[in-house]
Amino acid sequence: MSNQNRLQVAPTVTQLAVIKLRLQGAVRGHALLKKKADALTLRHRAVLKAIVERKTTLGEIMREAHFSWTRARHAGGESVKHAVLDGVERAKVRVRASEENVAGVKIPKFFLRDTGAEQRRMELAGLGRGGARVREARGAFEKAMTLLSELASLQTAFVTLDEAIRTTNRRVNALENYVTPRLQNTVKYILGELDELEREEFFRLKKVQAKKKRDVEQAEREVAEIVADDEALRIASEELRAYDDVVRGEGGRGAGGNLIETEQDEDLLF
Amino acid sequence: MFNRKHGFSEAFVRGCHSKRLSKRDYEELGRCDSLEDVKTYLESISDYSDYLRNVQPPVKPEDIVACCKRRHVKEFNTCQHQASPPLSTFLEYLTYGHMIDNLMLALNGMLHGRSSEEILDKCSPIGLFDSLPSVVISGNVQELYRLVLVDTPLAKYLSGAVSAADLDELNVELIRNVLYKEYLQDFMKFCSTLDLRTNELMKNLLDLEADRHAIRITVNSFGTELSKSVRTTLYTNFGTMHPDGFVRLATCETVDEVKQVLVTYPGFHEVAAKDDAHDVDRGLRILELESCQRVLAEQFNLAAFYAFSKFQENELSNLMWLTECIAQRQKSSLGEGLICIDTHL
Amino acid sequence: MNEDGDLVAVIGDEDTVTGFLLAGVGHVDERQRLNYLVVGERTTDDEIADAFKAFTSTREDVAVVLITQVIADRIRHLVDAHSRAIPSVLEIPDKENPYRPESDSVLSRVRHLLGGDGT
Repeated sequence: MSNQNRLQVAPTVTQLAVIKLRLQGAVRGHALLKKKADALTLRHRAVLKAIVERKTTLGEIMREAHFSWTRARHAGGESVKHAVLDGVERAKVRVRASEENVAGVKIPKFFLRDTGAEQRRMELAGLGRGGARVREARGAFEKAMTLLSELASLQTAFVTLDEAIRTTNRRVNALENYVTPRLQNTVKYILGELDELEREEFFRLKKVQAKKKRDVEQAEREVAEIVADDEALRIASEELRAYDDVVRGEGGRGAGGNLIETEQDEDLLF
Repeated sequence: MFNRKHGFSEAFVRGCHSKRLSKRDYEELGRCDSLEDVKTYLESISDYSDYLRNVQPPVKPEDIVACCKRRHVKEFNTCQHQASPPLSTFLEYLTYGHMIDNLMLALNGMLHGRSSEEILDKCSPIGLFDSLPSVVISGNVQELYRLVLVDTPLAKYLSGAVSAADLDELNVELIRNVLYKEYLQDFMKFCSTLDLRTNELMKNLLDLEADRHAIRITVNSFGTELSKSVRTTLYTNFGTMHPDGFVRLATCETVDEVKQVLVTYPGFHEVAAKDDAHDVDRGLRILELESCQRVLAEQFNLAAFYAFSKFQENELSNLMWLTECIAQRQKSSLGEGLICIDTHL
Repeated sequence: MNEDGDLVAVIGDEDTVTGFLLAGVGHVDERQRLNYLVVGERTTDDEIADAFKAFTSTREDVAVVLITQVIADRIRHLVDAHSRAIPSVLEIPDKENPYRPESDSVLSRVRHLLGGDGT
């Protein structure tokens, strides 16, 4: 277990509780994010499918729109084209964005909005020639515009979801491969350290006990020694006394005994 | 008498007319799958090769249409250059329609803040008037009005119907159609000063054009802000349907009602039987070209020049339709827009 | 954001632009700025790029940018580099060239993600 892959914390029981809480959080967060990523991916795929469908329709719708404008130009001549190109004032069609919430991701959705701005300058385009065709072409392009606004919504959703999924996956991966293992390692580390401490404590206690025992023994031994010494002393003194007696007896009988007074015996002891 | 004055011009337009694309040409062109093929075919026939030479692939519909237009302009200009009165005046009248369009283009462009080059670029070469470039450069709508009054034949149409202030305020389309109405009425008046046969033929043609104008305005105004009272002011003071038919057209609100009006006129019987509005429009165009065809069958009258210009327009319209159909891969719709009146009798 | 909503900008050939203007997307603002660009024969790639940049980053009032595919191809690097959600850039077919979904920058990403089953 490398030092880098865990948090630098003091291996205490309090820290252990904190880290364990954090680990729990990370695991729960991982599960939630994974769920979110799944939800987003599901939506993402649905959006993709819708985009592909719409884009396939787009080809046909635009083809019709283009051709209906060709009909208008054919019926009305070049002047209808200029009437439109030179007739632009304020936009009648705008898009408005609203937001939809998918698993906490805000996805913009566009709505076409008719601002009611009058198109006075182009409304009568082709009045003398081709006007009815011009109106048809307007209808065809309005239809195309409706589809395109749907596509714009889908595409925006696509980009937003894409980004959100990437962020979420990054977080999931981070939790999975970095945060969680790191916390787990930290827990392991603290547990290890605590075990170690416990063992040391036990050993210390044992040592202490052993020492205490030794001390007691030694004291006992000392006491015993003292006792033994006393005994020995007593024995010794007894023995000494016995020796004295022997010496004294020999002196009264022998020449040496004459020299030492019985009263003076004590002195001889020292 | 006619021959001495206008014989050459007439021969010239008939020559040009015989080179219009025929029904067979359109059939051949309809078989083309690309505009390159169209170009090749057009180069192989008639005088188009001169105009198409500079068209580089990829060929666009506009390229071919532009070539066709250049050719028509050249034909018309050649004709105009050698014409003497009254033909020259008659031909002048034929340019007024384009002139009105150019004027509206300039007006619209100026209101929209377009640059002078842009505006002049879009103007039709037929119907340019000398002061147009300077007006466009001035960028002043009032100046435009003044110069049109001083400098162009449209003055008499404009002064009667539109004031200087109207240019700013009235809808450009409205002005265009008011001017067109005035123009048709004036043209009719002018034709009555010409020889009897021309006058007769032109009366028929312009009557039909006046009817078409009224019918188109009516149909095209459905669903727009154009009120019925304003609509009425755009109708001419002559026409086969004038006055009763126009009074009835003025109150129409649907295409069916228009058809009910049309059906009472023998000439429009067939047109009124068509299914939708577009078929009515197409039917009227076919009627017009058929009338033109009959005019061209006769000799020694100026109406032939009018008919000639209508066939030019039709060729342009056909080529536009044909090339667009091919370019947009909509060849199944070819028949919807092509009008082939066989010009080769 | 305007309370009426944002604009739809169009970059395309004359016919495509005209069609959408007809539908009412065209707008001339107080500063005479247009929300569309008609690409003609003389329009340079730089002009297209400038318009695209204006619609996608400078202007705040554009929410959707429509651009015909053929023209998008001319500034492909810019179109592909645009990754923001708003404005949404949509590639549309013009009248002559059939729609090629495969070269559409978003759709190519889509197909790639769907692993080829995206048809």
